[in-house]
Amino acid sequence: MISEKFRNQGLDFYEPFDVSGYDAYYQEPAYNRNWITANNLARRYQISSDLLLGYKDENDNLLYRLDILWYCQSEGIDLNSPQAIVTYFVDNLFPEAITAERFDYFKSTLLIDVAEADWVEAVINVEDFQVVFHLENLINAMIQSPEYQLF
Amino acid sequence: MQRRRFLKNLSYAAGSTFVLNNLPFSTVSSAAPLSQLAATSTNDRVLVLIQLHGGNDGLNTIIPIDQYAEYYQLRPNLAIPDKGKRKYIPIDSGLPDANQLGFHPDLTHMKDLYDHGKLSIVQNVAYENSNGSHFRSRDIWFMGGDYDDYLPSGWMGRYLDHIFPGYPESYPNTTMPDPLAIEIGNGVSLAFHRSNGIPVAISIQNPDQFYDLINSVGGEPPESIANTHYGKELKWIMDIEEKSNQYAGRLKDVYDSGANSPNVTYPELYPFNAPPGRIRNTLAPQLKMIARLLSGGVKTKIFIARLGGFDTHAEQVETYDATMGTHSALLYHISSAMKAFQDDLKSLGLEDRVMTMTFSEFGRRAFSNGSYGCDHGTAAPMFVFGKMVNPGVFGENPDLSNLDNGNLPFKFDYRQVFTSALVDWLEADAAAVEATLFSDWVDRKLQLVGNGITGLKEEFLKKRNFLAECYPNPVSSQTTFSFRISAAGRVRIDILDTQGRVVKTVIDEHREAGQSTIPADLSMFRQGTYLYRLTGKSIDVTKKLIKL
Repeated sequence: MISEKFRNQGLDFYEPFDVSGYDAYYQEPAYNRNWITANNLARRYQISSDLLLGYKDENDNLLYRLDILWYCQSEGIDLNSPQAIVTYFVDNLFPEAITAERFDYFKSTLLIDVAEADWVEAVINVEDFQVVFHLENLINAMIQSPEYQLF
Repeated sequence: MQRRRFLKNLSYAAGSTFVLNNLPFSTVSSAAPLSQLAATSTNDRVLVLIQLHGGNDGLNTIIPIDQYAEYYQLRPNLAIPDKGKRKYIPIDSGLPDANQLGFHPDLTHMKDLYDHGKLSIVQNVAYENSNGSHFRSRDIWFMGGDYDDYLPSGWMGRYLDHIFPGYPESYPNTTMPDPLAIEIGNGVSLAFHRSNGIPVAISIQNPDQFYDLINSVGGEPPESIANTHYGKELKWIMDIEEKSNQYAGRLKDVYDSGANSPNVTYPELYPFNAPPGRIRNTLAPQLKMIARLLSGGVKTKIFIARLGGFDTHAEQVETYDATMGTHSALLYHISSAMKAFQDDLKSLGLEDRVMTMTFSEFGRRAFSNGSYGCDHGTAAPMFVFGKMVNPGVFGENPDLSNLDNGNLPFKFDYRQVFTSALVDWLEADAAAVEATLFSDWVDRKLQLVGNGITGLKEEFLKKRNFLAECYPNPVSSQTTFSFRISAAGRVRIDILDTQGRVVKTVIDEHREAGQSTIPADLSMFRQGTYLYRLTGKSIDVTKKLIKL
């Protein structure tokens, strides 16, 4: 199932389209760009989302899902601070610095409709699933961004 | 969770620059002024290219009948037989003896298209110093250069870039609401790359799925981009996303409003023996989708469809029967899918607008190997389909006793074929041809398009399928019917009265392609005027005779 997803992105492991290997990596100087097509990009976005939010088989059994809360806690991220959360993921998921506006956009995907001042009270002090929901929304927005594709 | 989009429409002030963290940033450019727009595509013609991926074995596709002994000797384990039920199909009895050709027995549909003047065959196409590497050779065909050129753009990309200036910023727009080109599959080949910026094509597998996919992923794009290497790469991705987003909905609309003809069935399976992975016809759904998009009104100029599996180093044929197996199935797929596509286009009233060409990165060696296959070669035939083609065979049979280091010597450069598609079919003007970098080929281009030269096709068909005046006529008792047919099959000659009633059937039998002479005794006929009608696979003609 995973290999099917990679195949959709243009990476058919061990079975390239022909003996020349994967199509993307030849004609210089654009070799690093030729693989980027609407389909491949969209599939990359899709698999990022699938890996994060979980993927079920045909019998509705959850096959995998990133435990985002456990991850944040084990990394020692200060969950009480939206600023700290976004800073951590921007530093770790993006190859280069982003603008303040862009940072604010990602922060808004974490907060959704909660004011920053109310974050602890409205999210952290409620149920875990609320925190997970907000964190997943942030990560999803980040890994489905063009910046992440350049990582 | 909020609804996400692949990329929201961008609307920023153009050209302003600011500095952040000592990096100069420039905003993403807004739509270019419409004054740049000069969509110069003056016609509604469409070019469809079918890439035979892997290197097609031309010698088993069209067999040089005049050199059958040499052919057999070069490849006894692959050779298509000259006898029996599955022997090659003689293509055209009107060709000179030295250029007599036979189709692979699974190319019956292509034979039919040929007989109806909808197919031309170009023999021995390659380029100087043919490169035996799949990827390098493919690059050469796509970029439209010489063996030692390394262009970052493709010939179709350069052409479309010229006739649709201002891509991508000014597109889509009212005159060109669709992708300039569509490549079916996941990738966009070098063919559609431009010197600067994203390629002119987008790749799709199915418009509905594409729309759903694009609408299920993505988020807000950044509003400013660093003027750095990173920023340039970021812009590349964003441009592709933006075009995908813009075109996904339109393609879905066009696809949903279009339809294939209800009278045409596209083939699904190879009816004989081949490895399981080759039985299914993967070309047919691609062509079917193109026909449906066209019927829905898509204005895309160039499509690339692809059929893989031609890299037949081993098991090209079944060990017990050289007329079946991988290569046979692939040929059947092309032939049957193209027949359905042409029939569909005809039924949809689109036949005048579409020309289709096959090409492959190279042909294969003249001699076979011990694995029931053959290795990378050089020259191979190309096939050009369409109502408007100049039908027939271009070039001569390869001389099998005079091979070039085991390869078929090439006679036509691939750009002689593509330049005809560009100039004669797409009607590119001199400036467009220059932008495509094909100016040097204009004088040498083949005349693959028959439109504008009235009677060319009629002449082709008449030469190959005709009913002569019976002789003598008027008839006192005996007369002789003479005819020529290009397709073997059931043939019938009826004599009818002026009310159209059959009064005598002279013949009703199987006839091989070629010339036939049939004597008939009409001594019992009453005096008067009669009609005689010849019907066959490729002919239906009625003429008049007088009985004295």
